[in-house]
This record gives sequence, structure tokens and C-alpha cells, in this order.
Amino acid sequence: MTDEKFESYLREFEPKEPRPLPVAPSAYKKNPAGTQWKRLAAAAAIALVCGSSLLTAWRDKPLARTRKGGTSERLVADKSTEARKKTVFELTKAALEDTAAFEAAMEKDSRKILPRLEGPDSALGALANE
Amino acid sequence: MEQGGRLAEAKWNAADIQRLYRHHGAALVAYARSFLPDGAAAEDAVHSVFLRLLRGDVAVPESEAGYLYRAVKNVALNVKRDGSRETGIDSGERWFVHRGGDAEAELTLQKALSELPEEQREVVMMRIWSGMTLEEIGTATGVTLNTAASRYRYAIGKLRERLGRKKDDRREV
Repeated sequence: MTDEKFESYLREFEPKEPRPLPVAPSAYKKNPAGTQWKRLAAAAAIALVCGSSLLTAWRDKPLARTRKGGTSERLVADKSTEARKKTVFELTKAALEDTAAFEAAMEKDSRKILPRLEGPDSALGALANE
Repeated sequence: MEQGGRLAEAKWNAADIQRLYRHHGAALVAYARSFLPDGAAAEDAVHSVFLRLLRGDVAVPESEAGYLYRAVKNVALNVKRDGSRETGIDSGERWFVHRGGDAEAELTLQKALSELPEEQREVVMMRIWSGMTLEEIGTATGVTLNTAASRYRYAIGKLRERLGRKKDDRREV
């Protein structure tokens, strides 16, 4: 068998095909500028989305509206929220410390807050007159 | 040289690497397999070399195929050296497939290849299954054309002896 023939014979044997090359952490270093640009664009997009979400949330808040007189309701609302927080805290504390006193206080307050339903000046009386 | 390296590096991209893998991958795995006991280890060795290229960790040398063979050999020898994998050439696993389905010849070829001295095995694999010229092989392996040709001749002679004898035996039967 000549060399050429033997070479041809050897080529009849084919190395087994290997599995495909895994998808690699592809050419990061091939185009660093391009990659950086993409990263910047992605960061800008995220910042834009977050920014617009925050802006929308801020606008939708009714407390942010400005009164006719020019004073911001936000300040008033902030104060009332603060007061509410305080009251809730105080009430919780009172309820935990002295239940009887807390119930008495609640009953007393309810008379002031809830509409009266008995007597000539009651809400029910007013409605009946109408 | 360095300038050549830089020029080569500039044209190095993922598509080229995939092309190299398609062209040389199978032969390189067979080559790695001649050092390692199983196909999976051989594929892992070849993949690790190509992944390093894809990460851009390596500047492309003048002889791409030469570099690939050397790198695969180094990785395979490291794997072998770490002691976790012993060479087991006689395992029944096929790393070559004969077009005519001659399974016995496949095993004979594998055995004959693995018994060749490394430098002869390298030359014959580059020539037959990677399609390189003897001149390219000389450049890739850092030897003269004459040395490459001489190694090739010896390798072919031994393979012919082994495979030819097998063929003759079968004819007699």
C-alpha cells in the first residue's frame, strides 16, 4: 500500500464529533467600548424607569397638592400624620397600661366624635325634622 | 513577531473560534483522548482551551492549529498528572469511527496511536485529521520541515504495520 493510499485509508477513520462548544462568556474583551456602552444604556434605562415611577407616585399622592392660599397641604398632612402617629402610640400605650381608663377615655371621646342620636340636637332629630 | 501576534489578536473573534472548533475540535478531542482515559475528560480538556480563547485570555499565535494542539496537550497532561485520571487506553470506548463500520480497526488504530511517541502522534494527527501541511506542522511544533517529515514517516510506518497486519490477518481468516 502506498503512502497516499494508506493516508486515504486513515482518513476513513473519523474522530468522533465532540459536543458543541458551550456558550461561553463570549468576547467580553473583544469590544470593551461596545460592552460599556450597553451597560451604560441599561443603567440609564433602569434609572429612568425608577425615576419616572417615583415621580408618578409623588404626583399621585393627594397630599402633594397645593392649596389655593399657596400653603402646601403636604406640610399640613405631614403634621397631621405625625400627630396621628403620636396619638396611636399614646393610645396603644394607654390600652396596654390601664385598660379600664383607656375604655373610659374612648367612650368619652366617642361622644364628641360620633353623631348624637338622642335629644333635640341629635343628628337623628335633625334628620327627622327635615 | 509581537506585531504579528497583535495582528492575529485583532482578527480573533467568537466566530473564528467556533470555526476553529468545527475544523479541529474532533481531531483535538481524539488527540486529548490519546493522553486521557475517557472521552468526557478529553472533551473537557479541549473545551477548556477554547473557552480560554473565547474569554480573550490568549493572544492568537501565528499557527492557530499548532497552538491548539500544544494547549490541549498541556491541559490533558495536567489532568493526567493530577492523579485523578489514569491512562486506560484499552477501555472499549471509541474515539474514532470507521466509515465502513470496522469496529476492530477502530480499536487497533486507537491503540496504535496511543503507543506512538508523543511527537509522532502529534504530527500524524495534525496531518491526517487536521489537514495541516508538513511545513505548517513544522512551524506549529517548532521543528524543521525535515524533522516534521521524518516524524511523520516513522509514525505512518508504525501505523501501517499495525493496521496492515490486522487487515492481512482478517484476509487470511
